[in-house]
Amino acid sequence: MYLLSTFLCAYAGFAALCAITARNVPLVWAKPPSRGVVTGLRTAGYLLLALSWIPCYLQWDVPMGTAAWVMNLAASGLALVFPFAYAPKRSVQAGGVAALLAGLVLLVR
Amino acid sequence: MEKSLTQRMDWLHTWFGLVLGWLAFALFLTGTIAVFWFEIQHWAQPELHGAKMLSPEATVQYSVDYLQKVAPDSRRWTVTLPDLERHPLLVLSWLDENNAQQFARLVPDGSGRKVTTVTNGGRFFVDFHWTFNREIQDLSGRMFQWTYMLSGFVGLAFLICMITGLVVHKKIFRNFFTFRRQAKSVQTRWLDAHNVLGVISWPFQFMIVFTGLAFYCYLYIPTGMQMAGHYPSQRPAAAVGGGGPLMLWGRYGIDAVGRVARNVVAPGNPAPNVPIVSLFAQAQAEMGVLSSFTVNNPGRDNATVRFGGTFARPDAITFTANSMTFDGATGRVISPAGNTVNAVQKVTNVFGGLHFGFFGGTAMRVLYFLCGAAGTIMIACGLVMFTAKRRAKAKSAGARRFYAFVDRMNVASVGGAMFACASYLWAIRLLPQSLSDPTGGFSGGVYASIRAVPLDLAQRSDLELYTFWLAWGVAALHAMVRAPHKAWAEQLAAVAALCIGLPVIGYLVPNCDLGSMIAAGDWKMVAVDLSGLSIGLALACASWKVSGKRVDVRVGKAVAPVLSPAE
Repeated sequence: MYLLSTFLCAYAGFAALCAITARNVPLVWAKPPSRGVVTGLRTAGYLLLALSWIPCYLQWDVPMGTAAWVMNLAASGLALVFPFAYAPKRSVQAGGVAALLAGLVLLVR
Repeated sequence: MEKSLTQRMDWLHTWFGLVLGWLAFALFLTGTIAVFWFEIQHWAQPELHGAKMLSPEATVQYSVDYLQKVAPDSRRWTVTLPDLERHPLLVLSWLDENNAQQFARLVPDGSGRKVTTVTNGGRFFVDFHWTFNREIQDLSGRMFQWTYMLSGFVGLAFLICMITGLVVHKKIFRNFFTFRRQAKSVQTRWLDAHNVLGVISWPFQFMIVFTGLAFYCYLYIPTGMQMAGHYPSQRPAAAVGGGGPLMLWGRYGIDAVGRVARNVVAPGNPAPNVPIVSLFAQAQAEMGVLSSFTVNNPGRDNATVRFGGTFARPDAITFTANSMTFDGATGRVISPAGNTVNAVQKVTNVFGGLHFGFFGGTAMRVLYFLCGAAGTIMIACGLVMFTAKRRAKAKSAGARRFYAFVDRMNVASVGGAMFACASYLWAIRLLPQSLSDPTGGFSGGVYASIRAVPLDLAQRSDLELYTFWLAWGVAALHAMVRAPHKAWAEQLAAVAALCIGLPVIGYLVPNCDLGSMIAAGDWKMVAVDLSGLSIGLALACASWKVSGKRVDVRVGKAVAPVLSPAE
């Protein structure tokens, strides 16, 4: 369950960063986001990627947890990129849900 | 004209990537499968499927009772305990009256049933992954083998490609999430897929290739080890009563059958021994999960009992097996647990531990598998891209011929390797057990190495390997004679059919069918079958996409099939 939480959290982080990548902005937003939104999403994105280390740490402690975290970043990133090519808006919106679920999973595990 | 750094790196990336990519694909594919090699080993031995396993303590007691019955006066018993999570096989071995090695492979359910299937199982993928399946002498044998040198070279080339790939990419962050599946140019689509897979899983790929190379660096650059042999350091005190030579990373340390053991201690006088189960409990409390124990002179006053942990420790990134030795008559600890490893071994522990991925349980291995699969697909995309990029721009007939050849080699390498692996799994399942060599399987040295023997003398494990290479040969031939775009579709479809068929053919062999395995709760076995099924479905989808019924044919504009040369 920890791994699921890590996965969702990293997915949410990538989704936030993906939404503000210049090339993707027209695919995701009806009108370009304000500078504040961009900064917010960027901060949230990197923060979520960093936070996704915590469930790994809780499950496996530092050495193994960090290895798992690195591999999970790849898994979550790829899990975002390919669906994004088909349904950009939904994949990014799923990131918001994923962030909530990540916390929820951690609480109820 | 002076070339820029990027152009130079591009050249290196392209040509190293192409020529060594053909081999690197097979290495990545087998390495990815090898993540689950214990599970595949279990899958390959029908006798073990669905058996109700004893607890570790009961298994120890059962082993001791069994050995007491078959070899009460033996000088040495060695028990390799089942890995209840991954591959629950119990191997008992003992020295007979001539001090020659004997053994029995048992189902650890207390029934005394023997495991008669001798198979290369999942171990084959491990060995192929670094030796292309050729026998290798042990480290002191120092037999030069070009096969592991070749795999090392491929690894090194891959490392170079990873770094040059970053240099030539340039827009890593701008294109981090970019996969333009509807891009006008076919090349862009393959490029995006290659880039996205490569960039996002880059840290993992670097880690896995670097640790693999670093772990075996003494094989690739042997001079240091050879010179070290001239200046022997003080040897650590020999472990009391070691069994046969432990395989470097195997769980099973069983010596060759019939080999006369050395270092056998003369028996003492008969004396009551401390029950081994109680020593086992003590050792387990100190060292965690144990994988083996050896009893020297059981039932004598000079009995010793040595418990060994496993290289494949689930709870730490390490590659050193712990051990602990007791006096069998008094229960006194002769040598306590605790690894005394030097700095080099500690570094090796990190490399080996990270590369082999024994730690962290199934969830961790799923991550290894997914990241490995991403690398495998990345290589395949890169290979396809080579011709997708150049074919249309070919200026001369010679260039066109070369690209056609590359197309064919791509099919032979990507399709062929997958076809060979899938066929090998079919061979494991369908070859009759009666072909097994009863004395084979756990001899010293590398287990899954191909032997040239006449067909009538070939045993099951030989035939499995022949199937693998024969299937690859057939696939390569097919790739050479068939138009590449057709060959792609057909080979992917064939691999898909074989993979989807894996659960189906289980119904032809006793104790391998999915239904009763689910009922028996043997999830290790079921997981292999279902993974085969899902990989098969994914490949069927890929086959359909490249078959010409592509999703993305632009209206009113004929588009050449993605993977064919412009004919």
